[in-house]
Amino acid sequence: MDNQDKAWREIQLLIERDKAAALDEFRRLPFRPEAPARPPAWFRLHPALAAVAASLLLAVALLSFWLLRLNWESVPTAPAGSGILSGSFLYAQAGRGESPRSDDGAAGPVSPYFAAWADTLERSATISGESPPTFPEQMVVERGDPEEVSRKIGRAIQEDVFERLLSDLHEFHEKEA
Amino acid sequence: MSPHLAPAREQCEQPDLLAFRDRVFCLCLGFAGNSADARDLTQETYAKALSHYAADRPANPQAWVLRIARNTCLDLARRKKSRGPLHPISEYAAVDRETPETVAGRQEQIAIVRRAIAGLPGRLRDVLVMREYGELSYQEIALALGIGTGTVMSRLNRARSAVLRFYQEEHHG
Repeated sequence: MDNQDKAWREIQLLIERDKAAALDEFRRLPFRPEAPARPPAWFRLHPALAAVAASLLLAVALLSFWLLRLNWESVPTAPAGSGILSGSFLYAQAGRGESPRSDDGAAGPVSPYFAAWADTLERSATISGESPPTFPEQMVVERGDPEEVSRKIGRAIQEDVFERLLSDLHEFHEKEA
Repeated sequence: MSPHLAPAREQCEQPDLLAFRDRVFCLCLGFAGNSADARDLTQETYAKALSHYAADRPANPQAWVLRIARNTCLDLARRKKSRGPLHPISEYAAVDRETPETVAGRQEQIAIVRRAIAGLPGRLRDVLVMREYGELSYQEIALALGIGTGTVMSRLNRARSAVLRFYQEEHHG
């Protein structure tokens, strides 16, 4: 144990010399510790107070909005954004959408060849007294009734709906080209 | 001086904080292993201490600053692991004002001690550096590390044995 203590004294002496030399160098150079400047006390806000202030601001903003517009329904549509928003489900649900596929006929620009084809089709149907051809995607198929589906597809095949559709599309395509 | 920085003594009224800067420096020296890093760490420690003193108002400023110094040193050790040392150790070996032969021999011995301390496990190194370099009492070390005085003594004993063994193997062959 004494030997260990003696050996440790030697190490301690080395550490002392190491410290003394380093301290000597440290003291020779100027030491000016600096603290980063903090914002003034009035500017520093406690997090809880900041949260309360933010909530109050939000409440005031909502109240002002309500007072100015009277109610939420009178919020006007954004004219510039209506074109962009027309595809939005929520926008359409609000009754403000101007979908190009709306059923009132006020659709967007349609190719003249397509319009001519559609007129011809309608006219021929009127002359022959038949109802316009029904395309498979327009059929109302009840979900979960495979028999009904196969029956309707069979009827469409019998009436040559697909062939007529293909020939019409081919004709339309040639005109378009 | 940068306009965003304020002199320490103007910023806070804690003249006694600078009174133990030597101890802070020695503690940093023990952890860093070279005087250049120790100087940077002391600077960084005081920057942190001065900016937080007003908010913390520690009951024992010296222990508080030494704790900041230790944490700053451990942060540097973590950074070194990823980036390498800030300053090459050989560049900052201890300087003595003795004959070249003595200085060379002593520098070698000191380098061995530093390597031995650097190679200790963190828990043992903390205690040894705080005791031998920071000159903290057992109670102060216990308080700083949140352990009992008995644990401090046993860790110190193990740390000393490990350093001695390493030193004897390296120095005496």
